[in-house]
Amino acid sequence: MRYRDAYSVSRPNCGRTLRLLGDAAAMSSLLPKPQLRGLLSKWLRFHAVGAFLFSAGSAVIYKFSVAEPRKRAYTEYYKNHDPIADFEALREAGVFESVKPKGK
Amino acid sequence: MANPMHLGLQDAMSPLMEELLYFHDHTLMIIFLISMFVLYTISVLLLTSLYHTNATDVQEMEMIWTILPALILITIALPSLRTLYLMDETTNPCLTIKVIGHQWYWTYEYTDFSQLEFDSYMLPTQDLPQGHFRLLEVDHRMIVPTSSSTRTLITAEDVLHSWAVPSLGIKMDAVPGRLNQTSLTSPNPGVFYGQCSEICGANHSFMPIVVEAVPMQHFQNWLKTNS
Repeated sequence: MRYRDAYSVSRPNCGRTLRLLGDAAAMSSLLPKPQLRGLLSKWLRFHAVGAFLFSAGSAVIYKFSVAEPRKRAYTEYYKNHDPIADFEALREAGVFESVKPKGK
Repeated sequence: MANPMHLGLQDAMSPLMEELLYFHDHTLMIIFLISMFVLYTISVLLLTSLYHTNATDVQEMEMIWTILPALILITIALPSLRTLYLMDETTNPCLTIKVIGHQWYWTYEYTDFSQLEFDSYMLPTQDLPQGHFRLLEVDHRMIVPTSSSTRTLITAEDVLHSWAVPSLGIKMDAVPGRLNQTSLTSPNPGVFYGQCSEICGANHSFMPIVVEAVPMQHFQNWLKTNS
């Protein structure tokens, strides 16, 4: 929008430049000022927590999905394990070289 | 024993191998922790354009990345030393077997009660009975009693070999002129397979180990029959 006021002068393009600055000043009062400082530290804080959670989470997932079930499986196996019954079953299956099945 | 598409260690057939399995789980968990941390860090670094223009003096970070790895190493070392000393405990064995490595077969000597000695050669594929395992079966297995500690003295006649049975958690080098001792205990009856684990020539891959654990009564019957 063209207008004349106390800021208009007769130099070439100066009035146009001053009008643009005036328009920008009016617009900047409507927009919030962007964050210009501390971006890296904010990024570092966020991703430090992220890295910790990601790595600790993967370790916890491995522990509770693999390590603890394995310990429980061995405990359960040996709770009621009968080595003699085990041996007899293997013997009848013909697995051993030193001991033949009962029928033979 | 190993299965097709097997991942990880074989199932434990001795208490020592169980301890080794748990230690492996513990250490692998720490490895996952470190690897996932590095993976996350590298990934997010690739996706950002932010950087520090004047990072010259970061004493706090230096302290963190010195002390934290030291703590991680201590966390790994303590269970490791516990398992190591557990493996070295003296056990008052009821039996001693000498294992001698040759190119390319094993000799087992039972000299405690009877002068029993035999060689153990791999069964060639063309002589393998139906259902037996290729490159793993032998003509004469090493027979041991279950639930009893057996001392094995391992040596070699010619070049380096290594007597290994993964499911029992045993691996011991067979060195010419040297006797290495290890203890073998299996609470479970069964047949356990292993292979030579030190390069020893053309047929290094073809000198397997088979340990057969049977109850003491049957072991004694076998000794009487074969001595």
